[in-house]
Amino acid sequence: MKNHAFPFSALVGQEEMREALILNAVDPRVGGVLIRGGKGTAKTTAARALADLLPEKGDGKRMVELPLGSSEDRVAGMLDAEHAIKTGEIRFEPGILAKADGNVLYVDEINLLEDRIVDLLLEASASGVNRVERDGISHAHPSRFTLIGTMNPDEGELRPQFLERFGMCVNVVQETDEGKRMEIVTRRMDFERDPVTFRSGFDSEQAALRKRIADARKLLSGTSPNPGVVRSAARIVSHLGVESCRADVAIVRAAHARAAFCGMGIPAREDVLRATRLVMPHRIETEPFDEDRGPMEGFEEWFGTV
Amino acid sequence: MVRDGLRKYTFPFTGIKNNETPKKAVRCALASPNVKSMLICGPGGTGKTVLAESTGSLAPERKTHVIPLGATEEMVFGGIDLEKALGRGERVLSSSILGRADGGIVIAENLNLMPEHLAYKLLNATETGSITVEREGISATYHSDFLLVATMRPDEGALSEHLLDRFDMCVFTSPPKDLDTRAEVVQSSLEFHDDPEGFVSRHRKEEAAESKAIAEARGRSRYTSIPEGYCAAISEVCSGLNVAGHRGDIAVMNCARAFAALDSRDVANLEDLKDAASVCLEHRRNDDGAQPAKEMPEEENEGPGEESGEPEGKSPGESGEESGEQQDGPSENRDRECNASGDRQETPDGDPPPPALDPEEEIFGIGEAYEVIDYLSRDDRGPAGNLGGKRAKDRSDGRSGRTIGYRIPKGRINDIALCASIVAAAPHQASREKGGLAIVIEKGDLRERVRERRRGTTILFVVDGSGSMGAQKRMVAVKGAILSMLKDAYQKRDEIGMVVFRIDRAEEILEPTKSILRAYKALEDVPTGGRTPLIHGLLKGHEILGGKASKDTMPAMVILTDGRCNVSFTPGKPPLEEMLSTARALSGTGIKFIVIDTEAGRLRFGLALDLCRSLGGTYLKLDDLNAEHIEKSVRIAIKE
Repeated sequence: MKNHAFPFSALVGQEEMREALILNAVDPRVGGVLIRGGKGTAKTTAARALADLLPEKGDGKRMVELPLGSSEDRVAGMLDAEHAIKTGEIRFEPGILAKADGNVLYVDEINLLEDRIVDLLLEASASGVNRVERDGISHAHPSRFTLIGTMNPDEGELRPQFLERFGMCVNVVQETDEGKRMEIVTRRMDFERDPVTFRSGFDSEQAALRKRIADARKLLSGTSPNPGVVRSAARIVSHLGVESCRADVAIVRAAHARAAFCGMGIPAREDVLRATRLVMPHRIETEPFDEDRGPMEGFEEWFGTV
Repeated sequence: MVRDGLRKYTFPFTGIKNNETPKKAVRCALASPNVKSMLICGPGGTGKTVLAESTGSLAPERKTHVIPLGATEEMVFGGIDLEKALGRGERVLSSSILGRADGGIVIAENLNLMPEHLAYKLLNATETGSITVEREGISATYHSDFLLVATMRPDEGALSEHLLDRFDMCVFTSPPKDLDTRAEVVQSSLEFHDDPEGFVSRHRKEEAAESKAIAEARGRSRYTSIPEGYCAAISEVCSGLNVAGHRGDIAVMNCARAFAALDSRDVANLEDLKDAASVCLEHRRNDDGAQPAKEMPEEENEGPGEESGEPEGKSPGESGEESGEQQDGPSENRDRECNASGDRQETPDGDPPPPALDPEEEIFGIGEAYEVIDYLSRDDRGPAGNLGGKRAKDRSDGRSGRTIGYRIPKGRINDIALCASIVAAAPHQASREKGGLAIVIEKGDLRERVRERRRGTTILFVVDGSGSMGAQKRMVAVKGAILSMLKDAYQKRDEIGMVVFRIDRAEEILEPTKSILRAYKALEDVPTGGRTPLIHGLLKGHEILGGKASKDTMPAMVILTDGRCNVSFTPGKPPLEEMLSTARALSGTGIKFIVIDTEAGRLRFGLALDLCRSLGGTYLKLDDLNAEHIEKSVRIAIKE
């Protein structure tokens, strides 16, 4: 597949966002990531850059993008009208949810999606199946995907049910470090001037990162969730006052993915801690505008005492 | 098992480690041939889907069917068979989900997000067991007897009381009650996910025993009886809880019989009745007792005896485990929500007040945010009726929105429904010149989509910020109302803004927005004090809302004032007179006006009422001006 996207390894700063994306590449069971942030935080660039790190597949597809204006028909699939008119037969024409099966499904400005499209994504991500019951079509096909969304919270929030479907959530802010900002701008300009040369400059780094992810996947496939980690997750989630058991599941998966990315079979404390920071922010009910008292305030101190 | 050929395994019922009461209800629903519908409510990630799907695993002889959210009416209930119509020009009833579901189980997740008319039809079908199709030239009635298992998340919108009452049973899922259970639930979820086959086979024996017991009970429950005296007791409990109609009584009896049968008895006892009442009556309660309904999940195990003052007390059969569950309801969570911003009454320490323009000028914090109306709460059932979760829905003329049906177009077609057009053309194919095509569609066959769209409202608060009495309280209350309205999950389509008029001008403090973040920042310091340029406020409001009226949005202006206006817009004009003439000029502009009269004290002039009459708006007088009252009143007024 020809790729002209900005290389992932050329991203500067935004550690949490990069970590969240990598962990999803290591283990799709982490459950996707929602990246929230204002303009100019490289969230879209980073999300699209992930495609290049995902393992090769036979059909060449790794990341499928759902454009904002997509109709219900295009997303869920529909009656193949041309075929019906020509032959008189009823046939299902697959949509984006069919293409997304086994891949990453990326939605930019996900908070602006229409309700009915959100409903489709909700159902598919809850059951792993896309069921179409309309226009004379009764059809179901597998649709398991890793959902990655980017959004600017200034434009509105996601419905709680949808929000909760994301394994992780990262809030990105603009880089404040002068040096890093300079580096970001320089790289961006270099890339735009000559993407091919720029990309080739990062070939070896990209290959190394891909290999590390592939190794982590291999390591992970031989391990099963550690009961100690499950227990820590339960304690953490209860401590943070979250009801949903999906939070525990995501922490366990993310901690294992991070350990595997570091070449370890069993997650260490640090893995669980980092996993929690990625998994919990959007699940904790606090005032979203409270900047002084973030949702995870005091958590690390508490975690240190356990 | 959900047999779509895609997923071979569903999570086994006997692998569920928590939600004891809902599990009991599932067994009961499957054991009774008379229970036709069950609703499973609960917050996300507490096991609704797993419970709903486990019904199929427990009753493998009954096929499971799923109604997805986007399903259209003819696919659920039946319409014209397209292929037959095309092939032979015949009008034949098509296969449909309910047509295939006779004797089976139908799962409808997120029922509260389904178009309401569909949900009604579905619940009606459960009651009558018969479905009538009258569409596309098809006129047919068929029989289908199935068990409906529906789920919903209350925070995504309410079901109407009538719809709720149709459900025989309603249960509430809750998160695991202690750490051990929590870890166990998560562990088994992970295990099932990683190795469904292994997990299912580990539970196979237990699952088979359970489903055998249920099948036996189902046979037996037909012959189970209820002692005569108990029937009166049921009626008494129902009327004590102010349950309307008779569906509740019948459901309790049916469930009690099933509970007895599950316990291999032929006669129901008091225990069965209590169990039955706890799963059949909570969603039908209409009592104004001291116990607010929002605490229901916690009392789900309590027999109705306690509530109606009967002296039995706790039943001996209630195991310690289950009474423990009573404490694990989400009450803590609610306290947290209520108190979340209790400390926000004052401006943050260290923030110096902005330079004062007026010695009286003050800045006020944001009023206490409070809980959003609960889907079953009393307030919801009062005159305010179902405001909590209802989205404003309109038939839309544009191309956006969910398709809910088709129609013969009038004039130009811009949203053609191809399938419906093919359906309309199908029966005529035998008599048409084909020209190599299988179907020829003529102009008269064309159909267009009828869409339903959730329409948003742009609400602009225009607030008197002058130094008159109560300005402080007013600001705090309005800010609180705005933040709370923005916080409410299902009002996300609404934009809210704020204009404050004081001294000699009106200022747009908050540009209409959906973002709570933006609102919070903008509302942090709203100054008050000075004179009352009400006309400036009206004109500024009109300037902001004027362009907003469209198919997608309805503009509404909420004016908080005592109607006293002491600054004229055109120098030299008497302010009061100018205010009323301005108001009259604005009355036909497509903006909905709501005037909240803030006049207090003994001497009243009733000027706000005059203003409201001139605007042709809705007039409200609030005895106690707080955020909650403002929000509720505005919601009611907007609905009108």
